[in-house]
Amino acid sequence: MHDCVKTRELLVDLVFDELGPEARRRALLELEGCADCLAQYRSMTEALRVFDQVTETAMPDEIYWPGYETRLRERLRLERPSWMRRLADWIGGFGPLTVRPLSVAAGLALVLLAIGWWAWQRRQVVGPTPVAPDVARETPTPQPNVESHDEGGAKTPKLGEISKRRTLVHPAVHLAAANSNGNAPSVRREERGRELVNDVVVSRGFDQSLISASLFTPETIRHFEKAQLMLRSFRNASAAKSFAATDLAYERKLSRRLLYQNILLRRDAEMKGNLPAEEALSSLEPFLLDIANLPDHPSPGELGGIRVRLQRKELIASLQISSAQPSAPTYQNP
Amino acid sequence: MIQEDKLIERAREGDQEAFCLLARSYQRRIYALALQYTRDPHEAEDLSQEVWLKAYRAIGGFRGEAGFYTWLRRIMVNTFLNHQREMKTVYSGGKKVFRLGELVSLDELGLTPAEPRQAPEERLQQQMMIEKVMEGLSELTAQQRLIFLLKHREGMTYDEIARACAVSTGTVKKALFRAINRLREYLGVKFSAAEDVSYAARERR
Repeated sequence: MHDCVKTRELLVDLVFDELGPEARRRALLELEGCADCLAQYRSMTEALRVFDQVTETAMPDEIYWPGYETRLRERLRLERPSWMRRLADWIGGFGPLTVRPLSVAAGLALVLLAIGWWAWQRRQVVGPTPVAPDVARETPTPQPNVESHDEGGAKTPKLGEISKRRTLVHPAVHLAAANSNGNAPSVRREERGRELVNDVVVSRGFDQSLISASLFTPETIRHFEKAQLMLRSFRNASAAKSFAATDLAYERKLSRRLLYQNILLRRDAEMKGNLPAEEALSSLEPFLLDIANLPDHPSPGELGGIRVRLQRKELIASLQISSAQPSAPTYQNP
Repeated sequence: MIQEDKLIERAREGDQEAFCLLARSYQRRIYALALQYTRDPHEAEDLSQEVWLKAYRAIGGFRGEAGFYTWLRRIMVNTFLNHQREMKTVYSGGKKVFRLGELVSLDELGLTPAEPRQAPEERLQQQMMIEKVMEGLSELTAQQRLIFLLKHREGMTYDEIARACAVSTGTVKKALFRAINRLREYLGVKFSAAEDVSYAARERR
């Protein structure tokens, strides 16, 4: 007795050739007995055939491949050899290093640990150094009660660039500073403070664009400038009173171009481990994507949604700050 | 032609030229999968080259226990899965997709149909078919798409796919069923029962 439900459960296995010869023969016999199941099976195989045909034509022309290879070579050239290989080369082709990387890595890790332990012990004995900078003095103090502790300390030096940002420092840094007597803070506490500052700068990402701007390449900064102009233009156009007159074709087109650039820059930042740049570009990407994918006649709701998110994230202001900063020289892998 | 084994050996010693020659043999295959997976030529190039970069970094550890392509495919699947996670984070769900030829013209990308002397109508029709396929694929989740490609293009078994993607074989089957139905839908492939009088009999032979 033919069971359509059971037979159709077998169709995928049949189409993708997951049945043994005997099971396949039986399944085909079943199909012969039911026109509907057979039609479904045939349409499945036909869909795969058309898929293969179509995807074959979607492949690039031959002229595409030399360029592809050149770009791959370029990326490989920028690729640094692994530290293991460099170490092996340095030692002079010491075979076991490349053959047994795990055991060698474990040995090296032990040596490094021992060195680290020795250095730490030594630091404990030596104590604070007079040249160590005071993080508490270099950083702003948004909490009044914390500031009062600082007043008794040494003279406040001219605030550096970092201290210009109001919410830059983690409260824990201030607490650390406040708990010290201000005259001889321990080196370890200072270092912890500095670590916290670094952590905050990295983790806050785009909000801290002023700091991280020094990590942006000139190309990234130019990209931010363009994105900022496009977003302004989008904001103004989408806020026009007469919705019917809204023409966002230019912004959409520009957004598409910027999106590709953004993806490339983000990947580049990711590869170089430049977290602030990566996060900044990641924050920008969803907006570019949304604008690029807007329909020909977007609804006020769609435009409003993007505008509100733009406003909430203060993206345009952040981009302006980032693009206004002098850039650092482009980072090159040594 | 230099043997693959020799190229692998040289690549393991850090010879980039040998690695590039090795890549040349498989780059079209990897690119095609990336293109069908991402549905965007730029991203496909980026993703496929990412696979090569990872392979280059890891080739020192290639011991030849499995074939080179099997090893490379493992790297490819992991790279694709990472890409999927990355896209999920950035685009929260990845429902928005580019369509082939929407952002940049196919000509500009060198993705013109293979036959340059084709009539414009034919080319247009082909381009429409490509878009339909890409639309059909974009209706699937990234995981379903990957499963479909690994099965249909790479011929991996249910078990191999399930292991590679860390899912059950049931999920693999469901993904394949969904994929094939989406393609049927988008390509407009429908058969009436009446047409299929002797189809099964022919297949059986």
